Amino acid sequence: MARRIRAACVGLFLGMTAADSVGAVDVVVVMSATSPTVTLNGDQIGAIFLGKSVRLANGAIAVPIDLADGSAERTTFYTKYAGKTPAQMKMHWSKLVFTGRGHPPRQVSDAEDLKKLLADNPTAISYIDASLVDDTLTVIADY
Amino acid sequence: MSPEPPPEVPERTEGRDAPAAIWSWLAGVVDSRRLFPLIAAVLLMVIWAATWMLIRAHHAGVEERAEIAVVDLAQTYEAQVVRALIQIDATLKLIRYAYAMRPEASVLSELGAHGLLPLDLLFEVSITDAKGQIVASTRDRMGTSVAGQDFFEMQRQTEGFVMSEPRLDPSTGEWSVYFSRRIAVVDNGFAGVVVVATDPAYFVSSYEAATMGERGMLGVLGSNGRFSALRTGDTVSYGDTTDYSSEFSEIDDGAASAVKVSVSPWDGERRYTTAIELFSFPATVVVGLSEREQLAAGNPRVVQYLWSATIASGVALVFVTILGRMSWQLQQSQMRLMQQQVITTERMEHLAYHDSLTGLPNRRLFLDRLEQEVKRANRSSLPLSILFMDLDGFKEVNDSLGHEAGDRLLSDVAERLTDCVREDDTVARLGGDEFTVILTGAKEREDVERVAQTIIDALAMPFHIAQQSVQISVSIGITLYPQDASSPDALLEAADQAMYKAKKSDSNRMCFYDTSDKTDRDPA
Repeated sequence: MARRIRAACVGLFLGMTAADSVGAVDVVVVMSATSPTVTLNGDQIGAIFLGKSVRLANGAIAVPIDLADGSAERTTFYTKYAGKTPAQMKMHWSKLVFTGRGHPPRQVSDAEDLKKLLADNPTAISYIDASLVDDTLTVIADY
Repeated sequence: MSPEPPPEVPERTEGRDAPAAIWSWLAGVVDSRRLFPLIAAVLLMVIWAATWMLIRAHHAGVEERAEIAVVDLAQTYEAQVVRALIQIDATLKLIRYAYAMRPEASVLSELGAHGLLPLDLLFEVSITDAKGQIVASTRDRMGTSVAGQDFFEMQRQTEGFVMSEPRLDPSTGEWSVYFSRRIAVVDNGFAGVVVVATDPAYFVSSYEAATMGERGMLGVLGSNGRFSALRTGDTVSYGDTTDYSSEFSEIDDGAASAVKVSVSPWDGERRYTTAIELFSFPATVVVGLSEREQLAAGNPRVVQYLWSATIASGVALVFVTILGRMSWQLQQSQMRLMQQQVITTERMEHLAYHDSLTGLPNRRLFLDRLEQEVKRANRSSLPLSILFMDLDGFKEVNDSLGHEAGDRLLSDVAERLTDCVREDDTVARLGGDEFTVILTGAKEREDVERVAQTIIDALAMPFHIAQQSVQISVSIGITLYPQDASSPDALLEAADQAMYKAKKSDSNRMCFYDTSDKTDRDPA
């Protein structure tokens, strides 16, 4: 009757394997092409998507945007930048929402919606399949 | 011959400084061999009693803090659960209202587009018709039925906010708890339910290992007294079938929760536990902290106390040992000093009362002894006699062979005299070539005479001095007490007179005192 959340640690490895299996997806972190040039390291990008406020060079707070839950890009991105599986991310947000300390990023359903949203929001930051990057986007990290 | 203790005893404490005297007195009061172990024992007792009390106080502090912490955590947790339930209920009411306005499946997606639905990642929202068929859902559940589930049956009966028991979805292996409100039509008839479902783990997700440890607990107890979710460390339990309502009945008295230290029946862990029954929802929150973990958190301090006590004990022991040793050494040197003083005093006494040449008692000691013997003779009525001796021919030896030979002769004479009498008898040298003997054992005149004759014979034997044979003789005057005189002085005086008489008569070397002699000598 008991389920160990710690088992999710095992899930981390499974998640990595999953990420490797979807390794065809090359995910890059992007912002709007109109955004001022920013430099963020991997830890800062991870922090932005885990609900911590990170200020950009111009003083604005970075606004994270998520792709749909279960998408290959999302799984790959969180494995790489936050070191967390989808199950661990669910636990993370469960705790923050329950304790009232945070709310997950806004979510868009596909890459087209994402591009539109980024174009309108210079402080917004997200991730996308590298093959879908066009001149409306700036790649700010590609690990 | 052992000298009797002299009458005047020299001042023994002379030359000793005052602190030493005080120390000596203290040492006399308490023997240092017992005093210092006693001090050490008292010190150790004080150190360890203080340590024990500190540890007790520390434990009491830890317990008190744990109780305060558990109440604090419970109040925070209560607020979180209540807020989560209020949000869920608000969502249920909103959806019910929107669905009443527009009873179509698309109402959910429309509400979602406006951000009015709870987080999709954590919550599932559904609407059913009166038969339990799902007519709208944020998940792909159209057409499935909730008929027969506890909450649906309860909503059929009566209006209200219902929290279901946790339920395992066999197809996904995931647990859910269902919150629902009934949808009523105009005539108050049952038209279905609005349902918000979530993982029960959501309600225990605020577990913080940093404050609650690995063995603390958070739990939500449903109205049936069973845990909807129970978390300890990273382990979440669902669907417990045991009714724990009795466990927490004593402490679920609203805001003022009492902390109970007891063994949690589900895992056997001793915990500081408190529970708060929610006011507006059919649930009770339970918070516990592991007693073992809370006390263990204070262990470094206890270890520190024990170490300090151990070090303090060691220092105290070393200190007392050094002190004890110093005291012992002081006592020893004090004792040696005293022994030396006794020896010195004895030597000085010996010198004062003995003739340095022959080692025989001198005139002073002789007179003293004589006085004592007279007193004793008075008490015991035993006779006492004095032999007064003067050497004949000593002056010639002294003149012809020198003073050293004379001294040597006197020593030899002393030795022979001593050999002639019993050990109890006193042989003394009064000065020059005059010797005396106090005889205490001779009962008859003949006995005294025999001793005198022995002396005459002994001294008549030649002496070998400076490679020469020296011949001398002795004249002995004898007095008897109490016949001849009544006082020691008179007795000695009489003996002296008798000796002169003996010297004058060539034939007889010994002469008993005759009372008529006294009158003879007086005119002379």
